Amino acid sequence: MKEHRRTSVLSRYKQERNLGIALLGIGVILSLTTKGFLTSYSISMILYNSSLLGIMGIGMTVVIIMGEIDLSVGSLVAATSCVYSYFAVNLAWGVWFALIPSLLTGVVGGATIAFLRNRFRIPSFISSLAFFMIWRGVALVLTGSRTISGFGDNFAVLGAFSFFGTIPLVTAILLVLAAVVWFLLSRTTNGLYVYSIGSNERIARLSGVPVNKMRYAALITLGLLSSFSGIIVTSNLMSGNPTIGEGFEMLVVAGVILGGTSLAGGSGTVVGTLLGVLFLQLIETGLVLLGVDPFLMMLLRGAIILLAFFAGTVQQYGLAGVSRKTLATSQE
Amino acid sequence: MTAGSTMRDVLRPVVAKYRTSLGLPLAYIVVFAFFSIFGQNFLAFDNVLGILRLMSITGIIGIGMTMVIITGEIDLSVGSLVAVSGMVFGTQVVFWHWNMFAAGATTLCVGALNGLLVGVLRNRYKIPAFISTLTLQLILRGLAFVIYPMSLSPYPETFRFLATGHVGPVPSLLIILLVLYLAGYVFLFRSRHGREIFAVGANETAARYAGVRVELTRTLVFVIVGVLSSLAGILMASNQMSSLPNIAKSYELTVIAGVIVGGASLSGGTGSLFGTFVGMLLVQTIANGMVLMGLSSNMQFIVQGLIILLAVLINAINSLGIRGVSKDIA
Repeated sequence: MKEHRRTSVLSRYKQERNLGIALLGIGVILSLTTKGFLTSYSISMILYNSSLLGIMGIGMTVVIIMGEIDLSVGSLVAATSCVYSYFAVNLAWGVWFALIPSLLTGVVGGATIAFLRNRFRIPSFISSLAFFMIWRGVALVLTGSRTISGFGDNFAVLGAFSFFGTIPLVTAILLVLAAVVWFLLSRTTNGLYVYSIGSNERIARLSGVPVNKMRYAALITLGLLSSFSGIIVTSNLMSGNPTIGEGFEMLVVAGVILGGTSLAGGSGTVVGTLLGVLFLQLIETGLVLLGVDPFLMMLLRGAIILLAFFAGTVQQYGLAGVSRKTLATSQE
Repeated sequence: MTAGSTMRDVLRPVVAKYRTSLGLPLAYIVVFAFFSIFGQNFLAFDNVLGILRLMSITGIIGIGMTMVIITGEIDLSVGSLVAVSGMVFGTQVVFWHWNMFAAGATTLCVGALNGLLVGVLRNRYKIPAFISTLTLQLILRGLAFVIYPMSLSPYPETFRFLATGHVGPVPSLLIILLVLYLAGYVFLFRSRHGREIFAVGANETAARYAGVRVELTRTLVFVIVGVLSSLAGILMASNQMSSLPNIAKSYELTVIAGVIVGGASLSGGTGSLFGTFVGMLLVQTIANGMVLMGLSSNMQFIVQGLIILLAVLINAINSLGIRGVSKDIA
C-alpha cells in the first residue's frame, strides 16, 4: 500500500500516460502534414466514430477484465439497427416503443452467451462467434438485404446532433456512461468482484463472489450497450442497415487491449479504453486523410489491430516474448 | 436367458463404445432422408456430386482444423487465407507466366508462413490464437484485394483438370480429398507428432513434463492448416478457372462447424478425422438442402450459427450432463 502511495500519479497510470502522449504526437503530426485534420468536420467524425466504439468499449472492458470476450457486438449492432427500424417503421411502433424489442435483442444475446458459459462451460468466444453469424443473418433476413428508411426528422438528433458543430451528442452520452462504469468498477464491491473473477475465478468463487451473476450482468450490459450503439447508428444513417458494424468487434477489442486491459483478465481501466479507442480512430482518420487506398486501408487496419495486441503483450513479456526456459519452469 | 436379453447383452457394450461415433452417421442419414423428401432434385446425381464437391474444399481445410482444435487452439483466418492463396497463385501464373508447379509451391509457402506467424504469436507472446487469427482474417482479406482487386484469369486450360477432371469415372477432387484424409489419419493416429498433438490438447503441463515439444507441436498444426488452406485456394482457382479476392468468406466458421459437429472438443484433446469428414458432409448437406427447399441464402448465416451453438452444446451435455454445471460446484 505504501509502495503505491509513493509512486507518482503519472507512473501509476503508465498505460494511460503513454497513450496520451502518443495521441498528442499523432494529433500534432496529422495537423502539420494534412490539410483536413484540424477542421470541425474531421474532428467531429473522429469523435463520433470513437464514441460509438467507446460505448461498446466500456462494456467490453468489463467483460475482458472478467476473462471473457464477446465477438458478436458488430453483428449485434446491425441486428439491432434492423430490429429497431423494422418495429419503428414497418410495424409502426414509433421510435420510443421500438426501443423495447431492440434492447431486448441485446439482452437475449448477452444472456445466452452468459448462460452457456455458466452452465455448460462453453467458452464465450465460441458462442459469441456463433452469434456473430446469427445476428448478421437476423439483420439480413429481417430486411431482405435492403435498408429500411422512413424515420421522422426528429430522430436524427440522437446520432447526428453535435454541440457547436464539433462535439457530437454521442460523445456526451459516452462520457456519462463511462463515468458510471468507471465508478462501478473502481469504487464499488461489484467492481472488485469483476477484477477478482478475472484474476482467479476459483478463488473468487470460494470467497463467495457471485461469479455466475456477475457474468450475466457484464455480458448483458455489453449486449445492451451494443444494441444502444445500433440505435445510434440507425439515427445517424436515418435507416436500418443490415451491413453496418462489420469489423466493429475487432476495433472495440483492440481499443480495449491498447488501453492496457489484459486479455488474460484481471486488469484494465475504463479511461485506458477510451484513450485506446480514440487512438485507433485517430490513426484511421489520419490514413484516410493521407489518401490511402481503401483496400490497403483494410490491410493496414488489421495490421494496426495486430500491433495493438502485440504492444499489449510486449509490455508484459518484453520484446523477445516468453522464452522456452521460463515456460518450462512456470506452471500454468 | 432368453435370446432377446442375450442380444441386448451383446449389443450394450458395442453401443456404449460407439455411442458418440454412431450418433453422427445416424444424424446424417436422418438429414439426408429429410432433404430427399422435401428438397427439389436433392437426390439428383449431379446434386449429390455437387455436395461432395462443395464439401471437398472445406473438408480439406477441416483436416488441419481438426488437428488445431485437438491441440486446443483455433484458426479463424483460413477463409481469407484461401482467398490470398488464390490471388498469389493467380499472380504468378497469369501475370508472370510461371510454371504452375513452382507457383503452387510458393503459394503453399504463404500458408505455411501464416501458420508460422500464428504459432510464434501464440508461443512467444501468448496472444490467443482466436485473437491473432481474427486479425489476420482482416489483414489477409485486405492483402487479397491489394494484390489485385478483380478477377484474375485466364489460367491455362490444363489447370482445369486439377479440380474438375475425372480419373475414370471418379472426380479428381474426390481423390485428392480421400488421399489427404488418409494421409491425415496416418499422421494423426500413427505418428509421434499425432500423439503429441493429442497430448498437448489434453494437458499442456503434463505433456511438457513428458518431454513433448509443446511449442513445436502448436506451430506445426497451424502450419498444416495454413498449407491446406492454401491448397484449397489453388483448388478453388482451378474449379472456377479464375481467382477472386472476395471468395471463401466465413469459410472458417463452416470448417469449424464441421469439425465440432464431428465431435472434436474445443477444449482440446479429442477429435477424429472420420468425425470431421461426416460433420463437414452434414454441414454442407444442410446448406445445399436449404437452398433446394427455397430458403434464402441469408438464412444460412442463422442456421450455421445455430449449428455451431448446438454442436458445442451437445458436446458439453455429453460430458457435463443435461443440466450442466450445478451452481454450487466451483
